[in-house]
Amino acid sequence: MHKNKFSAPQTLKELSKALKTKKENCFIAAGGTDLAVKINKNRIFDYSIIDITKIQELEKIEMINNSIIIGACTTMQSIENSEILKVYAPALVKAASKVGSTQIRNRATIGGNIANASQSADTLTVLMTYNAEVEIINSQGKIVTNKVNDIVKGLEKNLLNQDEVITKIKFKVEDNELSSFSKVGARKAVTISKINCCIKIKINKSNLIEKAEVYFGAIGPKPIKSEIVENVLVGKKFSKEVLSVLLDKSSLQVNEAIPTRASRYYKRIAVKGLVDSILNDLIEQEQSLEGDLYE
Amino acid sequence: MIIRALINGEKINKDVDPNKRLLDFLREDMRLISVKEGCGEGECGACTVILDGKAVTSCTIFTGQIQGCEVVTLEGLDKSGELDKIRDSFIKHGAIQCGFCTPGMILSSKALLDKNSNPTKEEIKRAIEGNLCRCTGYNKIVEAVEEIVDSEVK
Repeated sequence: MHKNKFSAPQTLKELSKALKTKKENCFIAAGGTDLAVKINKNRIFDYSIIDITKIQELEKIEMINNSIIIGACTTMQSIENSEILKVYAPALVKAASKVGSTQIRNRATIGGNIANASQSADTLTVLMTYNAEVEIINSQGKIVTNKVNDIVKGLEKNLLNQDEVITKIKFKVEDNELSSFSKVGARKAVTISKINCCIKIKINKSNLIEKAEVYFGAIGPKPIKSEIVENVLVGKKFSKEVLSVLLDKSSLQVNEAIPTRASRYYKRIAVKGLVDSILNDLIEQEQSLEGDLYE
Repeated sequence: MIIRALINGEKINKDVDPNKRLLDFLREDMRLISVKEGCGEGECGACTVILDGKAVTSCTIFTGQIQGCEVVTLEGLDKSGELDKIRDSFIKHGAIQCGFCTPGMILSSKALLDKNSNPTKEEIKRAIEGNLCRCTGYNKIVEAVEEIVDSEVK
């Protein structure tokens, strides 16, 4: 019996102490937007909770040198309004702004989005594009760093140990980097991604795309890297002209990822609209970047 | 577990099950029945309350998590007199039919207006995007909130 225990550590030290007694049916609660629903739906009555939302240091967004560090309990709403992220990781801002509804964004956290590992998670696609890492604390107070890609199994399964909690998300950003995210769902707002995509490119002085990272989400258990689309972009001049090849290759990528799924006919076409809107956004970002240079 | 929180302006100090959903705590223990359960999945917004100034779905929060926080429900707005103007506008515009979504709709609007006293139509729509209404078709609700904005600006 758990006798419905509830603890709310205020520091990381208290958290690792609380993790010492964590066993089955003891859940880590952050925003609760996925967890509370799961507990209720699965009719779990005997459980205990470790609430990590009272640990203040987990709510910070910082930039140290060229690394962005985001506390695991940072809400989607805080990410959406972060001045640092608006400049250095626009795709993450966009993804956070598209999660659920206003009420959900006020509670849902980025750490929770990773740990919940839904196949349709919006910020996961972006974090993988940025090759983000997570800091994980365990019951011994030991902190380890792992790639987001390595701890997310997908289909709502993660590879964290029973006594581990994600505390921070870290990724590197560079100058002259552009990034954007887009998703398609059944409707405009409060929707679950049927397919989403994040593209990050770095442009050099002669306006050529030096590096490109592309991930598609919701067409597999977890976001997949699209080398097909990346190869279209690298070395090309950044303009609207890459668009038609880009659209065809995106469609091909979807086909390769889900060759037999019934939704493939729809997604093959939907992806074109998705990539088109990302490209428009990137072009806009580039123009404002140029504007800054000339001012 | 003893929960200390400010609910509708009143300090409470109550022994409750901290693993209960905030929604159930408010309805069952506090008898604040304006908070409705619709979907129980955070999708419909009928259980919306204002937690530390932000609109949230009370069905996705554990009661223990409100320790030291402030919660406002429709009853709280009624008590402080802030409800009058919003209610009048909702009635005037026919923004209420069955009324089930109304408490959540009003609290989402209220959370927006507290932060942004002059929101655009798009901002109003975004604030209530998490509140489903199966009767009015939303236009009347948006109009009602717009009128509150106008009357406050004047």
